[in-house]
Amino acid sequence: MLFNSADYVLFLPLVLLVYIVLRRAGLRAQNAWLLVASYTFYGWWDWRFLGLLFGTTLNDYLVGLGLERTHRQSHRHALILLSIGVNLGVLGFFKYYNFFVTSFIEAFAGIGVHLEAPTLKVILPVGISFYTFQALTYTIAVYRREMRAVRDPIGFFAYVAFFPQLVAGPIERARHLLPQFFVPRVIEPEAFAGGLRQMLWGFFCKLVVADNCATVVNSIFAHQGTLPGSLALLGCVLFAFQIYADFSGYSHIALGTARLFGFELMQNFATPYFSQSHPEFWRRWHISLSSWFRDYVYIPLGGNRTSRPRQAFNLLVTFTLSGLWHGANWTFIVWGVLNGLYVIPRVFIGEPLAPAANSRNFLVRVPTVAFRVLFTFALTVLAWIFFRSPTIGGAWTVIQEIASRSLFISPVGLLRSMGLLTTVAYAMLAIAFLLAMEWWQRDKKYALELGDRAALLTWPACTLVFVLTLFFRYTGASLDFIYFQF
Amino acid sequence: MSTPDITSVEMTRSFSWVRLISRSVIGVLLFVAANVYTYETSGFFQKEHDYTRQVDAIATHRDVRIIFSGDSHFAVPLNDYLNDNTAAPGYSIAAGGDSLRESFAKVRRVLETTPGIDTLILTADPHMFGKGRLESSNRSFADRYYIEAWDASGLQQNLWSAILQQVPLFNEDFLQYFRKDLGALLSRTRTHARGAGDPLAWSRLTDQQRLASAVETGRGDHAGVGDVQTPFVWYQRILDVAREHHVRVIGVRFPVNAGYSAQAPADKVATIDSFLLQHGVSQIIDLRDALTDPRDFEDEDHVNEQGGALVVKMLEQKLQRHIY
Repeated sequence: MLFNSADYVLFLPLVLLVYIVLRRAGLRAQNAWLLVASYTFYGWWDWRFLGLLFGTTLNDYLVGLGLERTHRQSHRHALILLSIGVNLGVLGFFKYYNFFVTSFIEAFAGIGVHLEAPTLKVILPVGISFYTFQALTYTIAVYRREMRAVRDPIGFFAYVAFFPQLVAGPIERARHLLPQFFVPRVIEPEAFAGGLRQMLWGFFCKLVVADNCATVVNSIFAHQGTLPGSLALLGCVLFAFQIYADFSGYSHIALGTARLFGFELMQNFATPYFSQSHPEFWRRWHISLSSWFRDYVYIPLGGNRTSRPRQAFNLLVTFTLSGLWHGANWTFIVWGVLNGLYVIPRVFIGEPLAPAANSRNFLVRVPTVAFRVLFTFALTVLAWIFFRSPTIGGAWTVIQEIASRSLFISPVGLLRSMGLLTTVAYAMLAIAFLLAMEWWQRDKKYALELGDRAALLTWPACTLVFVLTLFFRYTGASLDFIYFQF
Repeated sequence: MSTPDITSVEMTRSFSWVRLISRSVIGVLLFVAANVYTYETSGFFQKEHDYTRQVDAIATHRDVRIIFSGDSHFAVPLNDYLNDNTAAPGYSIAAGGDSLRESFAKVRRVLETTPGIDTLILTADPHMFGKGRLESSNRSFADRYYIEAWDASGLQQNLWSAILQQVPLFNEDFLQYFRKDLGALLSRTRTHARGAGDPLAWSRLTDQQRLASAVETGRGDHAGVGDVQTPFVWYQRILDVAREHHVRVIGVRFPVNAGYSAQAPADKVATIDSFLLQHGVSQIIDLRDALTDPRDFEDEDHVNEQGGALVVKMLEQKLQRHIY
């Protein structure tokens, strides 16, 4: 089920109503209801994969109990390997099997050896990358003795399948989210209202910004190689905002929904396009995944407590794996490597412009900050080209278009002939509004977190965003959230 | 296990459920008021009023035996001419922009609510089988007939989604209309139909101008004719519902400019004809070349009311019965 579907408009109030009624029946009843609702939410897409979700969850639940009971290190080691093996094995099979097989065949074909191996028509279960990573945080935490194993299966199954964040995160840590299933959840009116506002902001991001951008981006990328550089560049910049608004929009709806039920999920985005460097960008973008890779890959590899060359290597490995996590395609790997390469220089040279960016002199500080933000954004857009293109060759074509003289051709006439001019105008205005709101509220978790602003601002701001969402949302076939495919 | 602070709140000022609920109620009331205002004042919903009123008004025509269903090729000449005569045995439920999906919804509705109808004159125009008629601007107008029939087969998603679309401010077609209107307002380039207000504007053009315009429009309208299955499926459904009500179906093509009709590939037209006759259309009356005087036309593919009267007379002769 999609958050931006009519079904969800019916589903959410119904689930919430029963959840509130069940308060008197106790925590277990509420958890059981959340479990039923979450499995319904997931099964709405394809009920056949409920078995996979159930199976991997059961495996992690039993591994957790096993880790709790045994003190022999060799047994504990075997159990954690079993959990990692099953989770990554399932992920690997459904997501990467065909990719590795075809890459293997192509690699051998390159040296003249022609192999044949079967490829399978595998459907990627939605959200598999998210819930397997989340489940792993539990078994690893129990293995590291950072938390006790959970005995109540209903609470544990509800934690893995919790519908607001099941299919596209945030990838929660067991230590943060799981305990919330075992304490009475108090739904405060302020938190409830905040949840509604956060959902509203999420819907604005998705329906107005992301979906309007998507219409233009899809048309432009469908004509790769035939358009002037100016239009290619426009498509790339709009994609940068599309993917941000799409994914952060999803996260806001997820966080807002969770708050309605008395849960607090971790923040997933913190105005990343205002970042002044790439390390900062990665502290603000898809925080739950970045921190997952930091905690479970980068730090175990040695993290910052190693030599600088080793740190650089660790970063490159981490970012490459992060790229691979996004999808079974070389374009994602190049995207990951590029981001690793953006971050590595900081290991050796630090932040040379940081003093100027923190200067008390306005005339020094503002241009420096503006330059750093724009430079970081430009590099990010360059990497997004690989992320968006179906092939590396396609990405390279787009880069060549942008680097050509046609960059200086006005795109207005072409956009008009493609019937996209009005949509581009709406998308640009929506982006401007998004950035203005985020700049205004840059110290907050989301743009409509208006608690300590004047009370008079809250309702007009929410009404404005609601009206903009109603009148300027994309109209057409419902567009999936981009991160569903990962 | 450490217990997270899940009761943390983002605001410090006092805030109660009563306050939240009372404000929500005010918000909902304002939203309802905005919907009512939009429904009553928007040109889009005015169109919807007219659309449904036309179907409902068949009840005031007691002697109706023949109904016409199609798009603007039928609606432009017939809707005023035929429907204003409450004693006429013929009645048009055609509407500009209708695809066969909308025709099916209305035909079913009318046949189920109006006794005595024995003949359905249904468009057999080739362009109705083209790719351009897969989606209609009247989509959401016809949705209400599917909702009332509790039939999701004609809906884009599901019944619940269609019900939600009936809320004016959630209606996507209204939104497109609104955005188009806003764009026109901002660019001050409100478009006017050719010769709006001048019934003889088409006849004032030269033959060459008429031909050029007809060819261009014909090419666009006939793109992909016969290449997609959907229109055939809808046609079949209309024939099925007519059969259920023992209604005879006659396929008719109204007069158009020769340059326009020439753009419909002959082999595709033959395929369409063969399909219609095989599946229950008792007769196809092709009047595309029946009128040649430009004064009988509003444009390249629409006869005007005067031309419509002539067409009705021709049909009366062919069918040997009164329509007007």
